[in-house]
Amino acid sequence: MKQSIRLAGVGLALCLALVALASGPALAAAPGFQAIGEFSLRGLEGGRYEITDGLGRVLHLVPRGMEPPPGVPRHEIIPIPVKRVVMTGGRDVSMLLALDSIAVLVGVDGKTADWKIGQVRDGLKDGRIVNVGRSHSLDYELLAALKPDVLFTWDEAQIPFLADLGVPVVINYGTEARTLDTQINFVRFLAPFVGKEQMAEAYVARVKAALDRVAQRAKNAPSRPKVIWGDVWEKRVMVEPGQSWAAQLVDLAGGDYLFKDVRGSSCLEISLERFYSTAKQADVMFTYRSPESGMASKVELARTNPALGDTKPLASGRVFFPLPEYNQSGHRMDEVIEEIAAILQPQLFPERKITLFHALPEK
Amino acid sequence: MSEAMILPGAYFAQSSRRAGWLYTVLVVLVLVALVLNLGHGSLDIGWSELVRLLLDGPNDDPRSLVVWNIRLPRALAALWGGACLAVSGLLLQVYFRNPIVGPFILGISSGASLMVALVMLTTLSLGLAALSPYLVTLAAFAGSVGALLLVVGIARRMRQGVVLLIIGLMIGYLTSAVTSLLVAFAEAERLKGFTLWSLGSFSGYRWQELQMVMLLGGSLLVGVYGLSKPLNAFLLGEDYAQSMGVNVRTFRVLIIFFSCALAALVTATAGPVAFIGLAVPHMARLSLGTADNRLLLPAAALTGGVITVLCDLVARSLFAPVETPLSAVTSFLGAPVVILLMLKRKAAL
Repeated sequence: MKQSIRLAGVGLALCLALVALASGPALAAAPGFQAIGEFSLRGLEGGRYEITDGLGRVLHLVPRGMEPPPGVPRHEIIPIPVKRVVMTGGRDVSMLLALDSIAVLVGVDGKTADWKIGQVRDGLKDGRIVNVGRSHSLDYELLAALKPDVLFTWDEAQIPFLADLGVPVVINYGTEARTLDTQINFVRFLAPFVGKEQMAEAYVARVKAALDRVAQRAKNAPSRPKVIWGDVWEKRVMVEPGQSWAAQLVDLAGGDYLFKDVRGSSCLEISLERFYSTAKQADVMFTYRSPESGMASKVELARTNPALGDTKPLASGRVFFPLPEYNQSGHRMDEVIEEIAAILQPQLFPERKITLFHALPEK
Repeated sequence: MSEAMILPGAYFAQSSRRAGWLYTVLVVLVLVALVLNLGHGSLDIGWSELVRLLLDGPNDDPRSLVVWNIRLPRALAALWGGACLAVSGLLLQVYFRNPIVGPFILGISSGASLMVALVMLTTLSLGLAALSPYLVTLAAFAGSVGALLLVVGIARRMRQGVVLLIIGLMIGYLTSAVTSLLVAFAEAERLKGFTLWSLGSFSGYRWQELQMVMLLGGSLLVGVYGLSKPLNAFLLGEDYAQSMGVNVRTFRVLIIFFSCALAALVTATAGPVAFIGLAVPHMARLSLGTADNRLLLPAAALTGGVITVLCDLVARSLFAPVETPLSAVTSFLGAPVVILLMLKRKAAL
């Protein structure tokens, strides 16, 4: 009797072990649900994924050769790993570098001169990558001829027509500005498309390590410079919203961002009065207005909007603008973090060379 | 045509009494709207402090700068701009005898947009830094005056208003086409500034601009009032006007000139502000119950001023400190009012 019970126990254990073995690989391929800001990712059995893009649309990533889920239209199914991708927006294109997958890129928006990423420039020159027009007015004929597995774009108006062409579209912008956490983890959203989940984890670890390093050093800062990030036009002013990743980065890098209370999906106009009263206190200003957009010096910036001429950054503070490389530096996020920290706390980061920003000259 | 036409005697006296009351109400509303605009903003300034800052005059205190250099010019510009746009729209509605005509129908804002696009979206402005900070204003002024001269030139040759209307629309399409091309090829960073300008706003108004607008706008408004009697005759038809001794050919050019100049002045300094010129004349007409331009012109100017000042206050307060586009507010608040007034009383010129 005892022997029978022992045998039954061994049998049960073997069954459990077999079940665990059988289900093991499927569980490993299904990392569960991840929310990345307004985007999400759900791993399913068989290496499939169900994703939600910035517009809240559900799309299916299906391994090549596997049957797509029944009843799902063709333009909502993306074969993975993708082999042909069209992407608009420099920052997301540069994320493909972080995933060592720039080779899948077959189309971008903008001409060769607009691109600072060597591989994209070379690809555009030798024809491996095609310029499909401006992001708001894509050349559908070129796009259709490219037969991409997926198009990443911000413009939802393109979805219906591209659906007719059978091109799946992923909207890579949400209704809110990407937070720092979303910006860093967005690589995890992209990883299943190219099958580079481990590289995504390595990237996230690298960036978070940089954040920790910077935050640790910034703790020793004698003071936190007050920072604004915005654009001054002839009569109007725009600022980065407080929840944007750039604004959050300023706080983490030892600064004090002064427009934390402003909310929005991207740079937005605020009242001149608020800008003026806040800018009076600011030590450092970041602006997208640069010599390339017709603003060559602090004096010129002050002359553009004389009401702001006596604000601290323009009168006696420091003004920085990002170089064109900055918008295509998603893969160098750790460097961006360190450079902003070095701008705000130069005494704490003396070794850091500034390569993505430039100080606006006095005159 | 309204039954409440330019009738002499008892009817005019009755309309004048009504207008007197309306003017009084509007003047009070103007004062209230100005005070609200001065007292309200991103910076918390109490009423007593506001009075002190105003009495002290401008000084280096940041609060004084906010009140004197940001709030006051903006409020006065909105008041004056609204008055100019309303009168401009009224003139064109009389000229075309069409209630759905606004001040920008003849391509004034399109001309301004084209010139602003040229300086903001291309490298044409490089080397013109010495003109900054008036570069965009000057460009808009040049564009609107260019369109004005073109339209007035054509108006001198045309007898039929409808031909001028169509030509004005075509000028608008042509200039918009060039602007669209510039926008299509512009860099994203440059587009931001142009988009902001095209939304229209009285933000960032400077005293020098305000002085110019008050002087020129004031002269134009006085000039328009001088035309109110022939305008009434014109309302009954060109033949009638001619029989009353109006030189119709010259008069047509004068109406177009005054209307376009008023619209150009506002567009050059504040960008295109929608709705006011189209709808305010209706509001004034329906409130007064007469189409007599001697009474209507001041009423339209005051109504335009009040509505624009209040809309500007809403635009900067609704999601403060974020600014809402002024044209969105003017249309959103004003359109239902016009619909209600129209439903309540029969619309007529």
